Amino acid sequence: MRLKHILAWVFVILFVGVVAYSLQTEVPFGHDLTKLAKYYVDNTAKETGIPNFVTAIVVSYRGFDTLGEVTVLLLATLGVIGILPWEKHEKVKKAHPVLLWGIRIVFPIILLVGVYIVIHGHLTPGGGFQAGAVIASAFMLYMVSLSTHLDLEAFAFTESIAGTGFALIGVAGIFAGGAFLYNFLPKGNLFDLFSGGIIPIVYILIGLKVSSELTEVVSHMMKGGAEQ
Amino acid sequence: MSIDIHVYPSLLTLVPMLFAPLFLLFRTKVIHKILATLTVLLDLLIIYKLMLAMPIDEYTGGWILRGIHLRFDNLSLIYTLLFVTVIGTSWISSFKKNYPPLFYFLTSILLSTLNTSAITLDLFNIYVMLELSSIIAYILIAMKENWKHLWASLKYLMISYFAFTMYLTAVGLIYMHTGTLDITRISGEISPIIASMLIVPLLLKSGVFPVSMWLPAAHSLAPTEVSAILSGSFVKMGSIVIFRLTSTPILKHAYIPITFIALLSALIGVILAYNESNVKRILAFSTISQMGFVLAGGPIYGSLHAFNHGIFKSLLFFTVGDQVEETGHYDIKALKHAKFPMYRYIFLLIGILGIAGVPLFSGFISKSIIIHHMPLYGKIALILASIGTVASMAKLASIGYRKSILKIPSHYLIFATITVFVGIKYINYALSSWALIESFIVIAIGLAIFLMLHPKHIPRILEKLDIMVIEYMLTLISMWAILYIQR
Repeated sequence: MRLKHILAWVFVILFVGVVAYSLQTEVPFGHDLTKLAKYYVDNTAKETGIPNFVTAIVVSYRGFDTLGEVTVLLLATLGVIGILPWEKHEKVKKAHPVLLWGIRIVFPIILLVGVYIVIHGHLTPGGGFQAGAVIASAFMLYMVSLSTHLDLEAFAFTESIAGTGFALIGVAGIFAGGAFLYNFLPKGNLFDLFSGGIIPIVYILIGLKVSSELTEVVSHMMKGGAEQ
Repeated sequence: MSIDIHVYPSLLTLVPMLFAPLFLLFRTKVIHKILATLTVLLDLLIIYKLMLAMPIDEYTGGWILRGIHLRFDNLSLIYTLLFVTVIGTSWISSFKKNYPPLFYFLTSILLSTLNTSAITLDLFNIYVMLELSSIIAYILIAMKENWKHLWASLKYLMISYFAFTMYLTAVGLIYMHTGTLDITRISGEISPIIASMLIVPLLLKSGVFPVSMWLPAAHSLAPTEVSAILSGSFVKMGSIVIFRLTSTPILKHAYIPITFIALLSALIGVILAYNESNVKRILAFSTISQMGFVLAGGPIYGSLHAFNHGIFKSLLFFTVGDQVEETGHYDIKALKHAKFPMYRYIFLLIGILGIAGVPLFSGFISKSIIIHHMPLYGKIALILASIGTVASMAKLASIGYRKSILKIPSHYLIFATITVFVGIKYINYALSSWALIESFIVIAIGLAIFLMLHPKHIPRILEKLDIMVIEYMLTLISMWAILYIQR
């Protein structure tokens, strides 16, 4: 082994040793909730009108971060489409009949589950991001098993409408209540499907955006194989 | 319709972000020009309104103490002005070339991201902005369809994700310990490992020596406008976050190891720049050195140098980059045959005089203030680095000029005006007989080195240090060790 490799190993072992040794006392397991976390647990339902803390934090308390995260996903999609030079693959083998029939049964069920998760994002665990991934997985399964690709334009359209909608609802909050993403719609009764003001609307838009972006990425990758 | 002044900080983020999709929607040049002008003007208007009422605190969504804390103060003012100037001027220049709408979309979001990083006081929000701006940088660097560019971009992507994961871990641990993400409200003690996991990724972002060997490849391969944006505004992002973190009482002690790294970077950056023969790489290495000056200067003086450096380095990247694009040569020997046209050479000289710290130019003020406020070892290191800067920039000036028709491109003019204006207007702050004598001695020795010491006599060991993961680990370990001993 060359000296360079030995040195590299020494540094890696030293680094892992230092980090592991000094972090072992740092992780506070089994402690009480911190002050801020306790605040969220106690007051979320009263302040935002929805029972799901996670959704309230993602969409309402820290909605400014979510705008950034949604943009991260958009840029990742644009990066894949803009940079990834796909080459035409060999002709793909036709899928097995079991898969082809199975997809017809599973596809609507996956879609239904995804739609359920996104609509109940403010009531039950899960929400826009998770549901977006579920819905996209249905389309991915469809594309991979039929070795085809879907119309990119339609997804790009959905994605831009949803993204702009999110930002515009946020800006509407500035004019209605003096703060970005201010909840200006009536909050309704706790645990009702139609409650929480703008939170479910924003989460549905995020769901649409995430699902169309993920589908777009896979569709772009499938395009190379299908165009022969 | 009037908007409460307490919402204005978040408008700095929202305005460029809302304008960005319009660049993709309307694909004609005329509308792009209108949109770009509107974005820049609105951004400047918001900065102006905020400047009149500084400092302003905002909690997003109106969730006081439980939302995201934004603050617009002096530091934000300097940085947001720099960001909007560099990106706006790059847009002016880009209209003369054929850039795809994607370029305007990305740079508009980059402006929004950089603005946010200048006002945010929330650790997780900083993470989102680090991630967002890095993704934009990957795409901007790789935009030319060439495998070399993809490789430069991929190199940066790998190392920065390795670093950001550590940053996120540190943020999570701080939240578990203290129960808050607000920089101003973190209390108690931060252990050495968490502090170094928090700061070393930011050092990587701000382009200082041991952790930033991604920078030369990325900056030199990118198109002219992109290298100006990267060097003028993008690498400044890490420094503002470091200034914010180290001005809190709990992380104040971390400034000592940062100063050591910054001084090392200032020195090694100029040696690398002097050895280099590719003109764009000379500028990239000089950025590494100048970022050392910025970080050594601390929040008050360092931010001034960050502004000045952003302006004259963009000017240098524009003049040199335009020349490279026109002639197709990167090498300094080949460029000596082609030579600069006269008008471009004049602007190049203004940039060089700025970066070399000649009196009446902006670099003189911030450099001499920083050197004045350093302890003795810092003074010696920074003066040596200034000498090296003069020597490596003399290499660029030695390319020479040829007679040509006189043109004044507006993007050169904006940067040159700011360099000279700042240099003359604020000269009182730096002007002392000592500073004048020092700058002349530095220039004299620098020129002497350039005339006598040929780069081929300097051994090339430092160039081989581009195994970034190992360097990153080494920096983190040494940072941890210094903080551990200090405790």
